[in-house]
Amino acid sequence: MAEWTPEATDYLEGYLKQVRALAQSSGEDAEEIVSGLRDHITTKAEQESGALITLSALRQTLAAVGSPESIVEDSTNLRTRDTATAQTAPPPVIERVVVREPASKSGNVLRWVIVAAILVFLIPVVLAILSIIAAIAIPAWSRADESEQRAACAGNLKQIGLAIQHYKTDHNGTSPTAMSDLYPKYHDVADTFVCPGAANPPNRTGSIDEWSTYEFFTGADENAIVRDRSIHNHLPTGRNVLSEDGRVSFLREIGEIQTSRP
Amino acid sequence: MGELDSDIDNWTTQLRKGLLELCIVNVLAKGDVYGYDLVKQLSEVKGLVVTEGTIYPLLARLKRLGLVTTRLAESTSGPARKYYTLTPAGQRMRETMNTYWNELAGGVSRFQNEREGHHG
Repeated sequence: MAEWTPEATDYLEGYLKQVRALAQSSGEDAEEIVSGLRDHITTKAEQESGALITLSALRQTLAAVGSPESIVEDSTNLRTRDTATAQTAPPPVIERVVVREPASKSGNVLRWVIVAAILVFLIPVVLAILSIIAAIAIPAWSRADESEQRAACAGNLKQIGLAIQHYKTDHNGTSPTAMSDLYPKYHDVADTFVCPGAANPPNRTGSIDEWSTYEFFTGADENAIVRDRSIHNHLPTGRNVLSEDGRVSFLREIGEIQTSRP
Repeated sequence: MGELDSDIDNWTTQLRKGLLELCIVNVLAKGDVYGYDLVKQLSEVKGLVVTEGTIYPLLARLKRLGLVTTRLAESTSGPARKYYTLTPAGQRMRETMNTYWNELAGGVSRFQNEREGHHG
């Protein structure tokens, strides 16, 4: 059995301590590596240097064994190999090999390419669906809004019709000929004389005959007495018309489409 | 060191690492070997063992994979020695590796010979 100087012993322990720390940080079996290395170094040193192992002799031995960094670095590089060893490894090691694969750059690039491809195809589809929904919904909302305005307008004309009846009662059956005959004496709510569908609401200054959006009318239809002044207050193009008997009808430019009860 | 030298150095390192494992299992297949003796045998192949210490992380890994086992045996000429033994699983791996290597080496040799033939 060879004798080791204290300096050589300390140096060897320091060397092995360094290997142990590096191996542990690399996830290797540090104790197994250190155990094998210690066995190797002591055997080699004793065979090459004789009975006394000095620090100088140990350093010569370690020069052939390699630095702690080179030993563990080799070990770390070996872990990335794809050999039969990895295929026959127990579950924990197989997991390590399998888990490392997706972390590679090519794996990340592939993942991003797939995501980008999905987005490229998905975004136009989503936009197309939204366009279809908008194409269906917006006209529907518009129609609902227009319908409400037309109904409100019809309500105004019915109110005006009642005012006309009151006027006629007071005037021995004579019909009024202007809105100023009715407002404010027979109906004092100014809003009633303005169609809610009017594109440009009137200023309501001066005579009501100037700003009311309704007009008295005696045309081809003898029963029609008051109507929308403009054919563009409602869609489709046409007018709400108040008849002598109190009915309100919506008349398109090409004919009657809707009649409300008196 | 030029870029070409660096590339060749990297290539030989990678090649050596794979071959080192193949050689270890083949040496162990002949019988139990202790670490120092294993390194000595492997060092006979020129260029295979550059630094002796690199064998031990490899042996530790083979042990963890269940491909080799170790045992301590007393020595008349020094401290107890750690002997490495190939397990049945290690033996199977060795056969697989040898088959793969033989096919690979054969294929590579064929390319090399064809190449030489073209130049000749």
